[in-house]
Amino acid sequence: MPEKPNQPTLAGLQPLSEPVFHILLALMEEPLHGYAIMTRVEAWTGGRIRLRTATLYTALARLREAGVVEEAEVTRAEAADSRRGRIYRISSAGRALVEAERRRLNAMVRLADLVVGPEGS
Amino acid sequence: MSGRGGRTEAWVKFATRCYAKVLRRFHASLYERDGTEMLRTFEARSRDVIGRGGRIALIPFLFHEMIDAARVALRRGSGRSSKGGPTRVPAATRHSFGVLASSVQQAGRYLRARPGYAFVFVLTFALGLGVNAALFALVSAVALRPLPYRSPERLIQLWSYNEEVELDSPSLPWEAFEAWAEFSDLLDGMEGWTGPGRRTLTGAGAPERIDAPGVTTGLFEFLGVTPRAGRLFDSREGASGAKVVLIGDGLWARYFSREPEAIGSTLYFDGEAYTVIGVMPRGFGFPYGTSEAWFPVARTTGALRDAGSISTIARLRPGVAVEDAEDLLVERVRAAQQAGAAPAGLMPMVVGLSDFLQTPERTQRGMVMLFGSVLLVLAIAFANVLSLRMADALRRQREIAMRSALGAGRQRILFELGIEGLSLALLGAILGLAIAQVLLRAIVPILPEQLGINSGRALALWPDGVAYGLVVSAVLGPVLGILPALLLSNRTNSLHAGTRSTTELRGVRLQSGLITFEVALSLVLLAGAGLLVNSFARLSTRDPGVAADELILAELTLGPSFDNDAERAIQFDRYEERLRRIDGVRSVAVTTSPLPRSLARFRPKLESSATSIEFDGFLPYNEVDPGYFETAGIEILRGSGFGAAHAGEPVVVVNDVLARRLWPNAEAIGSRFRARERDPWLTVIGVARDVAQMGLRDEWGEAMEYYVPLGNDAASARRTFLVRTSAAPSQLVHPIRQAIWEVDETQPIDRIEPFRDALGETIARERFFLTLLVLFAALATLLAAVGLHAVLCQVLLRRTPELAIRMALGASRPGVLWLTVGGSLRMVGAGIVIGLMLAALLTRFLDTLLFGVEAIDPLTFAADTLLLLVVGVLASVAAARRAIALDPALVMRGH
Repeated sequence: MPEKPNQPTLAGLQPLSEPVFHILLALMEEPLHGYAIMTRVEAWTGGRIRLRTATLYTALARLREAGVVEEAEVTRAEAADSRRGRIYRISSAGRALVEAERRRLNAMVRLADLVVGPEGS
Repeated sequence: MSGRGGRTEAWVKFATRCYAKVLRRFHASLYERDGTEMLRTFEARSRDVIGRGGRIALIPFLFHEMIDAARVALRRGSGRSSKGGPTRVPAATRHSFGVLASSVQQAGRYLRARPGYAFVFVLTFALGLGVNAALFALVSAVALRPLPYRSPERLIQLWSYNEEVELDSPSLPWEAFEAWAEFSDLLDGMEGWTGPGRRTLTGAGAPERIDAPGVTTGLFEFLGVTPRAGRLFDSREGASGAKVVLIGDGLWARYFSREPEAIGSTLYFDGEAYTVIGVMPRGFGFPYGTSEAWFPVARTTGALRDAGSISTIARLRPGVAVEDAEDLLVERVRAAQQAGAAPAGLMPMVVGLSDFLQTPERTQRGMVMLFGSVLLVLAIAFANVLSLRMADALRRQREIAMRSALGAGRQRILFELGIEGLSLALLGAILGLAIAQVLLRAIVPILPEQLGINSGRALALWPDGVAYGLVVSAVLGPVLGILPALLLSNRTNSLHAGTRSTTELRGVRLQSGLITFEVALSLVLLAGAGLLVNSFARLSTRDPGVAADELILAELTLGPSFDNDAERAIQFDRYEERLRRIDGVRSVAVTTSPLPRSLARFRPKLESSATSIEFDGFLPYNEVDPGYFETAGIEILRGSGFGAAHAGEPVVVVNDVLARRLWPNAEAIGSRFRARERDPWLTVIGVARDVAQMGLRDEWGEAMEYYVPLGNDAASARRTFLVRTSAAPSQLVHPIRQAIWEVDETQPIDRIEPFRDALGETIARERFFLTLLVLFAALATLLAAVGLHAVLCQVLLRRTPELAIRMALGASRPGVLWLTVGGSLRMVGAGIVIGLMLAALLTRFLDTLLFGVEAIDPLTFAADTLLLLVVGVLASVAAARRAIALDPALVMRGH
C-alpha cells in the first residue's frame, strides 16, 4: 500500500496505532499540551506505554493535518507562560474516529470470546 | 544544594542539546514548526526522569529518545536531506534499521535480566581497556604527537662552529644571528631566544626564581602558538624599552588564580615592574619546557647586541631538505664573509629540532615496554570476557536453538549477538575511559622530567586516548559477541539432546586453553616487573661515593644588585657563616655546581706529562672549597684535598679512574694535567674516590672526573651549599631556608632538598617505569586469578554429580579437593611453562632498562613462577571448596 506521508487521511490512520489511540483518548477528557498527554498516558498504563517526544509530536502533526486534532485558542496570558506550550483539542472527526476504533476493538473482542470462550472461563 | 541543582541543570541542558541535534537531523520540517515546544517538553521530561531515578537515569532516557526520533523518522519517511528537500528512505535501510533497533532492545533486555554477568563483563573489559587508553594517551603525548608548532618538520636549530677555537656552540653571537637571518631564499623565517634567563619574581610571598627567557618578538607567531588570553608582542616592543611580559599558565594560576584581570596587571622581575600583556597556553614552556615568562627582544641591532648570544630556531623554505641545508648555508655564509656581510670565523651547523627535543632511547624503550605490557593486560582481560561469553553461550544454547527452529536466520542471530557484545564493550569503554582518566591523574605527579611531556605537550586522555578506547571496543565488542557462538556451533541441531554435553565439553576445553594463555601472559608481565624491581633495588641502594645521608643541598643565585665578584663573594660568605650557626648543622661546604648534576667539559682533550686522551663526551668537574671533601664524605685515597692556601692556585684533585687512565704506570700526585689545550697546566695534589657525579644511573666507576679549588673570580653568581647535619636532613630544610632569608629576605632559593632526594630524582624515570609495570603485572595476575576461579567453578558445577558419587563411595573430602585442584594446576602449569619461554624471549628487550641484573635472571623467574603457583592454588582451592561443601546425597537425588 503506497504511503502518502504528507497528506494523511482519516482512512490512512486506521486502524489506530497504540500511541495514537492513547493520545486521542487523553484528549477526549480535556484539551491538553504535549507534556500533559505524555504524563497522562504513562499514568493510566502504569508506565507500560511511555510516549517518546518524537513519536508524540510526529503523531500530533499527522493528526492535525488529517483534521483529527486542532490547536486550541490560547489566551494572551497563557501564551506568555512559556511553560505551557501549545494546547491540543480533539475535533468532532477525531471523536468519531475514536468511536470507530472502539467499535472495531469491541468486535474483535466479541469474536475472540466466541472462538475461545470469554476471558477467565 | 545549589551546586547540585546547577549540575542537574547542566545535565538537562546537555541532553536537550544532544536531542535537538538529532531532531534537526531527522525531523527538519517538524523541528521548524514544533521544535521549541518539543524541546521544552523534552526538558520537562528530563527533569521528571532525574527526579525519579537520579541524574544517571538521564543517560538511558536520552538514548531511548534519540533512538525513537530516528526510528519514527525512518518509518514515516519524513526525514529530510541536509539540503532541506524531502528524502525517501529506501525500504532496505528502513528494514535494517528496524533490525538494528530490535537487536539493541533484545540485547538490553537480556543484559538487564543478568546484571551480575553484565557487571563482571563490563568491569573486566573496562580494566583492560582503561589501562590501555591511559597508556596510549601517554605514548601519544611522549612520542606520537608531533611538536605542537606550525610545519614542525621544516624547523631547525642553527648552531655555530667557531673555526678558530674549534668549538661548537648551541647559540649564535648576535652579529651572526643578524647576518644569517638574511638568507631568506633558504630560510622561511628565523627567530631566537636568549639564555635560560632565570629571574627573580617578587611581590607575593617568598621570592621565586623562574625560567624567563627573552624571545625575539616574532617567535611565537613564527611557531604558530596563540596566547590563551591577551596578545603576543608586537615588533616595536623590546626596542622601545616597554616593560611588558608574557606569562605561562603556571604563573597565571599561582598569582592570578587564572582570572582574566591578569592582563594589564603588574609583576616584579628582578625588582622591576612589568605589565602582563598575555597568557600562553597550558603546557607551553618553550624552549626547554620549564619557562614561565617571556620578555621581548626586538630585531634591532641595539637590542640584539644587548642580548649577546642568541639561540635560534628557523624554518627551511619548502623544497630545502634538512640534510642539504647545512651545505647550502655554509656556502652562503662563505660568500657573505668575503663580502664582509657576516662575521668571520663562524660557520653554521644545522640541528633538526626534532633531534633537539628528541625522546631519548631509554625512554623510548620504556614506553614501548609499558605499551606492550598493557596490550598483554588487554589480552588477558579479553580472554576473561571471552571465557565469560562462552559460559553464557553454553547456557543459551537451547534458547538460540529454539529461536532458529522458529525461523530466525543464522545471520540474524549472529547479528544480535554481535550487537550484544558491542553494547557490553561500549559500556566497558565508558567505564574504562573513566578508569583511564583516574590513572592519568595519578600518573601526573610521578611523571619524570626526562619524558619531556612538559615541553608544550600536555598529557590528556582527550582526544587520542578516547579515540583509541572507542576504536578498540568497537572492534573487540562484536568479536566478543559472535566468536563464542562460532567456536561452539557444530552446525547440527542443538535441540537434539545428545549434542549438548559434547558442545559443553568443547566449551570447557576452550576455556581451559584461555586460562593457560592468561597464566602465560601474566608470567611474562611478572617476569618483566620482577626484573625491574630487582634492578631498581640495586640502583637505589647503590653507594654514591658520597656520605649521602644527613646531607642537604641548597642552591642560590644572587640577584643583579650584586654586580661584581667581590660583592658576590662577601654575600656568599655571609650565607655560609649564617648556615654554620644553625643548630644541628655540623659543617658547610661550597661548590659551583650541585651534585649530582655537575658541570662538565664537552669533548675534552686530556693531557698529562705522560699521555693524552681525547674523547667525545662530557667530563664532569667541580669547583669546590676546602671543606668540600670532608663535608660530602668523599674519601681522599692518596695525597690531600684542598687547603685554604690553594684558592686560586693551579692545583687539581682527580678521581681514581682519571688517575689510572692518565698515569697507568706512574704516580699521579705531583704530575701535571689539563683538560683543554687552552687551559693552564694543573698540578695533581690528590686522588679522590669515584662518586656518582651525574646521578645514580651514571656509569661511574668507569667515568673520569676532577676538582679544582673554588676561586673568587667565578663568573657565576650561583653557588651550591652542601650542609652536613647531625639530625634528619628533612627537619633542617626549613631552618636553613629561614636562615638564608634572615640574611636577605629577597633572596630566592633555587633549590633546597636532602641529598638523598636529589639522588632519587636522577632515577625518577626508572621509578616511573617500575611503578607502572608492577601495577600492570598485579592487574594481570588478578585478572588471571579471577578467570581461573570462574572457569573452575563452572567446571566443578558440571562435575558435581561425579564428585558426589566419589564421595558417596568413600573418597575423603581432602582427596576430592586435591583431585580437583590438581586438574586446575595442570592448566596453570602449562601456562607457566609457556610463559617462561615467552618471558625468556621478551625480557631480552629490557636489557637497556636493567641495571646489575641479567635479562634472564633465574632467581627472578623462579620467584615469579612461585607467586603464580600460589595464586593458582588459592583460586582453585576457593573454587573447589564450594563444590565439595555440597551434601552428596542431596546432589545425587537432585540429579
